[in-house]
Amino acid sequence: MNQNRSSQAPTPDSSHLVEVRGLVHIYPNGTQALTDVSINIGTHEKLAIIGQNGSGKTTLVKHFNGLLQPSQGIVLIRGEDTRKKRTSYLAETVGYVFQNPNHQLFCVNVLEELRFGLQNLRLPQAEINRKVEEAIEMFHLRPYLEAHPYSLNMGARKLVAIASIFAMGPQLIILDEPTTGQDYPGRKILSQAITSIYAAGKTVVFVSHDMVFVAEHADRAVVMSRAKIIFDGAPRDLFVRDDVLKVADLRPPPITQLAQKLTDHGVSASVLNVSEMVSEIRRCRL
Amino acid sequence: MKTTLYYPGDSILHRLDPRTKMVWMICTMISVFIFYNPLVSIVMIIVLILALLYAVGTDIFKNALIQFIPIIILTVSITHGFVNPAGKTPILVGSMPIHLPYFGNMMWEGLYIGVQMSLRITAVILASIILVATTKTEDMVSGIAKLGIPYQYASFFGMSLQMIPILQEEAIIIVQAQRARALRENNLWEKVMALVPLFVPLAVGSMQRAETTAMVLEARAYGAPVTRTELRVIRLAPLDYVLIILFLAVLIGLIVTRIAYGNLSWMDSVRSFWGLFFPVQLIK
Repeated sequence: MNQNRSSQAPTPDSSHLVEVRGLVHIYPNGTQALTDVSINIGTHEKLAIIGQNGSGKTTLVKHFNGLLQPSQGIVLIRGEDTRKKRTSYLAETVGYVFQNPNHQLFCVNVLEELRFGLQNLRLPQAEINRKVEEAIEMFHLRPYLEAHPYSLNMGARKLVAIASIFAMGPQLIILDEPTTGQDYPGRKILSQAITSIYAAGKTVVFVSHDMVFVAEHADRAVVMSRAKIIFDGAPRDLFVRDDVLKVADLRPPPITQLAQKLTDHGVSASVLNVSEMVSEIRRCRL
Repeated sequence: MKTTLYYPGDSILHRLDPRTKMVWMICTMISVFIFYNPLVSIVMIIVLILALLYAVGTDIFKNALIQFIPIIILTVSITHGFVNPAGKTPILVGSMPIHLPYFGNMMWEGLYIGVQMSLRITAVILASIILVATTKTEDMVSGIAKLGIPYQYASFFGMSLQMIPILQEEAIIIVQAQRARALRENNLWEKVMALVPLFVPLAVGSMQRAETTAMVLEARAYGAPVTRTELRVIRLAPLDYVLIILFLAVLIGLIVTRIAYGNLSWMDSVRSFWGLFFPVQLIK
């Protein structure tokens, strides 16, 4: 597989990790889930994909590792066409964490779970140990190593699922609805995970409904509605675009809504979090 | 992808009372099992396939269970051909027996038993598919309950039927989740090993689901000590009576034949491939 990669001719646009051009996806039952979607994703980004249920978010990200194949258009991962590669090969570059960790976990303990993907990649023992060690450190899993994955609570289980994907060392990690069903501690752990993955020089793509989480973690927000991308830009710019918010039926985080109510007093409408709000209030001497 | 076993439609078979189709299914099962004769099964199979084609159309051949039938016939026949102790006459190709180390030669008698056994199984499968493919699950549950089986057991049956498509969908997601972890499926051994990461989440998930379902049912007063009323009342129409009488008449005729003429086996005289299905040698 590795020789395969080096013999591939370099494509002109290899600066993009993911390149999607004119993607159309029609499910076998006739539903058109994606209509002419184009998007580029770089090698170091924090990107949120937002949209209502059925808007095509999950369909789009499932094309990034070949779980779904384009009906029309093309998806390139590091310049390689996903139609010509197996998912198990693309998994080296693109890690996909499913919404429900129960679908992914099956081993007798957490340590085995972390090793599973690496063993599938047929890496040498020493390298497997090193990468597993790295994942344990990053996600603070040391106390759970001997535990059965199903004995952990949902938050920890999700974290194990993320760690098992991270351990494989993909450049892009996709998190499908990571905050669904998470309590506050679970969210905090997730936040740390995303921050650490990004700090390790990787790209994180997460699909989410949770605007507070998006405001906190995304540098770039992609909004989907009815099988199309209707916005692609910074979350700060998204929350002042009433037209986009209306079409996608989204509401900015409460703190941003508050700021927008206070624009008469000179507060900026694009406040994203509490500390920004505090400094705005100080600045405007409210 | 098709996710239910029920094929919606408005054919005569769809409109029949579920009890009629159950009588049909049971009559088929008894008739094929009282004889030792592949012809009985073949006739039943032809009738059932024609009925399925009429009610559902060619879509029925996309059904995974139907696609499995040739595999059942081949494995059962070949296995019996080699191992059934009734085997006496080796099958000669040219002048060579078909030989497997340890299992020995393939025998005509064993092959005959395998063929007629697998054709019986096929007839039973097709008869059950007719019932399931043309009956709404809720009608089936009321039908079973009206046959005198306690409602609880009837609804167990209905719920397990509804579970199959849910599990199918779940299995697809799990396979995708494991492929995202670089699950290897390049050769047969890897494919077999890949069943573990598929099976564990599926089994755990369905057990959890069963527990939740039980709680949900109780929260909705399932099993309350009162007489149930039904939303859809099923009733036997004149056609139902006609068909039930017809099925029972055929069954009784076959039982009488069985008692009068024995199991109609021609096992000992089979010497050719077509002889497995039709008693060519007896006619001469």
